[in-house]
Amino acid sequence: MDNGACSYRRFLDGDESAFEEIMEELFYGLVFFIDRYVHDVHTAEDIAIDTFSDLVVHRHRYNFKVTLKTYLFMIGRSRALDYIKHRRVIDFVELTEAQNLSDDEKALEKIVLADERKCLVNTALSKLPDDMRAVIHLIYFEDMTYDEAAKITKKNRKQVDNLLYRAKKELRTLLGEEGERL
Amino acid sequence: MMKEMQEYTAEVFRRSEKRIKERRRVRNRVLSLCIPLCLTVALCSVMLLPTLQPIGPDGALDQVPADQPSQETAPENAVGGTGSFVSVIIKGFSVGSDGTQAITDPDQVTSVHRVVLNLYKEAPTGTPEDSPDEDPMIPPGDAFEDYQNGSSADCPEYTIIFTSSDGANATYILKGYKLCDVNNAVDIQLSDMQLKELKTVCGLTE
Repeated sequence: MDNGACSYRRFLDGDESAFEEIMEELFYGLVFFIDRYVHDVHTAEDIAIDTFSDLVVHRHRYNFKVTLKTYLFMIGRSRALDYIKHRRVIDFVELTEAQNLSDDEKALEKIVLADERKCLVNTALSKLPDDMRAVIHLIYFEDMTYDEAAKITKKNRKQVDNLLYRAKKELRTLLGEEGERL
Repeated sequence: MMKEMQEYTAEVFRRSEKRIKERRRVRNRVLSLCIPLCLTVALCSVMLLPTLQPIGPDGALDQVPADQPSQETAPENAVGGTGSFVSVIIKGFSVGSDGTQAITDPDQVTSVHRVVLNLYKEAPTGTPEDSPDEDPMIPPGDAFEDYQNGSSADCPEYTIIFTSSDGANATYILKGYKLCDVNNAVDIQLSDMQLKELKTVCGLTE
């Protein structure tokens, strides 16, 4: 599994349908990951679209040294953090709109998390700090290696290890009996 | 409501197109500013460069030869200038002679000063030619070099003092082949021809 690198090479050679394959494979996962930071599905979609457009505009920046998924998640994370930094106003939305938002999040969850176990963990994740949440998401939900997760979160492998250990400890406490089963 | 994947893909390409167009626009704007700016800077530097060079006493651009070894600029700031000196006193201290000579003829004074000025302009690069036989005053052999740079005790020494109408002085010391402008602290090394010319105009030939 090369996580889209092969398709990207075809896209660089001029095959635009290859880009659609990349989108289908990676888009929702990226939105879900970005949503961990921004807590807003529509904003996460927006940022994910910008991330993918980076692939189109700066075609030759990706040097195939990491997987395409890792590269996209790195850019997505940077854009999400930039968005958080520059966000000044807390958006107040009407209740009905908020309801729609929550529906969209559930829809996204449904698309990405087919596993009931993952759904349970996902609910508990919102109570964890940002770093732990990001690492759990990458390793557990996106099936990335420790090295890839370290590259995306700009930490070293040892730090990722420690974060994962502490996150699992927290999750066991949060999930209670369910956590024991997990 | 979550959109269809095709909608997301179309949105990606739409935004990419917009960003590429924006980049091209910015690049063109920068080029349209930079190119005229560079041309203007180049033109200004070409026009202003001649005015930055120093101007010589005759009004022409002063072209200091690159091969001159020391500060051998013509003493155009010598006190009084070429036309305003009224007398020249030459004091000689050669072996067996201790005389003073005065020149008051205006034409002669002018020609002496002109010769001195020209010597500073045309100071030679190399050492004076080896022709000790022409001047009986020059000691032969190893002491010749000391004579040339004026450090030998046997060198004749002459002091040439120009006096202007307002009493200001310009003093030069000739020792061996070395001519020193005392006022401006500029020394030059003369060639045989130049030394001979100076001595002739000052009336110092034996």
